[in-house]
Amino acid sequence: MSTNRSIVIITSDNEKFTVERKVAEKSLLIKNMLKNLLPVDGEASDSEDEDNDIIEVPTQNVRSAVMKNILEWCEHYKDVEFPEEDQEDDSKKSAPIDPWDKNFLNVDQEMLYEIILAANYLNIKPLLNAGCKIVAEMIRGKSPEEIRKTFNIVNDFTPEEEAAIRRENEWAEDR
Amino acid sequence: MANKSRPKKTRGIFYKKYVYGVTEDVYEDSNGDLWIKGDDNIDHIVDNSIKNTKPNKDNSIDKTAGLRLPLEIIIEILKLTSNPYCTNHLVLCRAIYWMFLKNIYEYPELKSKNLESFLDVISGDDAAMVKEIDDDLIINKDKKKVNSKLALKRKFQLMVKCLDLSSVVQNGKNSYMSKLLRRTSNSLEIFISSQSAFGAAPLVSLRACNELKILDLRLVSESVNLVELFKSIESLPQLEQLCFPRSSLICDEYEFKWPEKLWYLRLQGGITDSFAINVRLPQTITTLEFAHCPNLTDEGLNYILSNIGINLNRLSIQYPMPKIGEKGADKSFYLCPNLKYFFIDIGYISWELLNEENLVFLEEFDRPLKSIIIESTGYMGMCEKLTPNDITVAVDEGRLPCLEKLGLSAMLGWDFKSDDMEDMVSELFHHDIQVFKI
Repeated sequence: MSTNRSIVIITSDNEKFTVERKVAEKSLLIKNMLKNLLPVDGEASDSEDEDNDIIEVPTQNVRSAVMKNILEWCEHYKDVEFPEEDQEDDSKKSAPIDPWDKNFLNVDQEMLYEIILAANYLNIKPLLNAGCKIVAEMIRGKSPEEIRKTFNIVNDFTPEEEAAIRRENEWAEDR
Repeated sequence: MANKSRPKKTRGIFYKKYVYGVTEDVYEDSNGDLWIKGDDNIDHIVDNSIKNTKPNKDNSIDKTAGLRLPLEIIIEILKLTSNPYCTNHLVLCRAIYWMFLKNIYEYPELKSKNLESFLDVISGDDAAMVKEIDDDLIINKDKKKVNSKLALKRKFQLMVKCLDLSSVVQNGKNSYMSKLLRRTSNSLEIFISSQSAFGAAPLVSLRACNELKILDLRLVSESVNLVELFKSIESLPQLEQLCFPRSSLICDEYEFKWPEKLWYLRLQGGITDSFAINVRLPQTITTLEFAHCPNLTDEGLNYILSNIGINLNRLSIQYPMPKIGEKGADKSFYLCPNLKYFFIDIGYISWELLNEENLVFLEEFDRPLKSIIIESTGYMGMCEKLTPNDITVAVDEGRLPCLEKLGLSAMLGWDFKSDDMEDMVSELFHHDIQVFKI
């Protein structure tokens, strides 16, 4: 059956990862791709030796070290059904980070950013959300300069403009 | 006549200091120093402090500083923090500032403490002159190029959609209200008044709020002239919900042009029987609420309900309505056959509300009433006016076929452990109706 079929994911550095379809389908990008190539009920494909076909999915924006981590996350949550994007409400976003996710994302900042970027590219909303929450915790209580450094943002304000913004936003801070 | 012999004015270098962006008058020499071309053909070197304030127009990033997240992800991360729109986030960079401004000003959180400073900002007095990226001229709503400084001063005036002043206590002077309405009139959709004044000046300013959808004046403590209020409302074509002030002068004019989209009306204050009989309420109203009407009797109430009751799907009659009497609202179900939600104070109904004359069987369709909430202010002797048995009988005889919820005030005076009550709960449970105490 095509649901149990293995998928080969090829990374940007040409490394191949063979995973179960339901693991790969944690990525909405791959899921939608497979939906067209391999319908779950097996309607579309014709040949009897369909199971012998190898489906390769290239992911040009993700390198192997990052993909390894991503697939570890997908393997862990392969049996968990996450709500569709439009069903996710704000309460879900404000929910605390799952302890397993917290431990999983306890990596250096470079890797964390790469996981976030890969989750964004592969459209894995729960992983993206967890990664963003970890970074949001990282910047808690930091000064603007420290936050700029964390995100590698260039300050394009003059000191006068920055002072004017602080003055302008005083009413919103004064509640 | 002009004095041609006076010496020509020369502009000092400091006039160039705060100009946004790199102008064509600034150039860099081979040593990396910045120079400004002077009017007097003498070029001035730019001191280091100015060089450091030069905004980065090409947004180049430090390539050695590692990976950079895209702006939309950074925005999402900032939104996940406990105070996403704080000043520390606004000053991160120009793009974030402009993205977050809308979120701050669309639904500003106003309290007594910050109302005045908010007003100064939206009036332009304290507005920061911060341009958008590569935006020399701001295009206004009518797609006309306008003076950029003026546009920056007025940048908030198209952002504010909701002014909820319900937390502003005794600080909203008439002049403040009037100014607030004027400054936000182009974009304002919701206005909830403060617990203070709303006099002639704000009423006039209200006329310019063409986009206004909700006008809630229930908290206004000063008496409002209803005739003036109606004149203002006439020029609000988008108005959908209107809540009258609880204290208002008696209205003796009745020819008004009601907004075409009005579907919610809360009548309060100086509403009299004469007003109820003579005014032509629009047929678009589907939700009607009464409260704080000291002059309205059951005659006026029933007249209004006989006019527009057939369109109503929500009706609420709340304390205090001193003149409608102990049985004033008994005809509500008879006059409003399409009602789905009914909220009533026990002081204005009796067992006759649910009798065969008022709660008649409808021939063409099942009565759609889904929810009844019976409130009480706790006055003695109210428990006898309507009993659990009256409800049990009405449900048992199938006169409330669509009822799903029955809410009963804990202050009704009913013994919630009595046999009658248990019988009612059991009967309602049998008909799949939820009963809850409020």
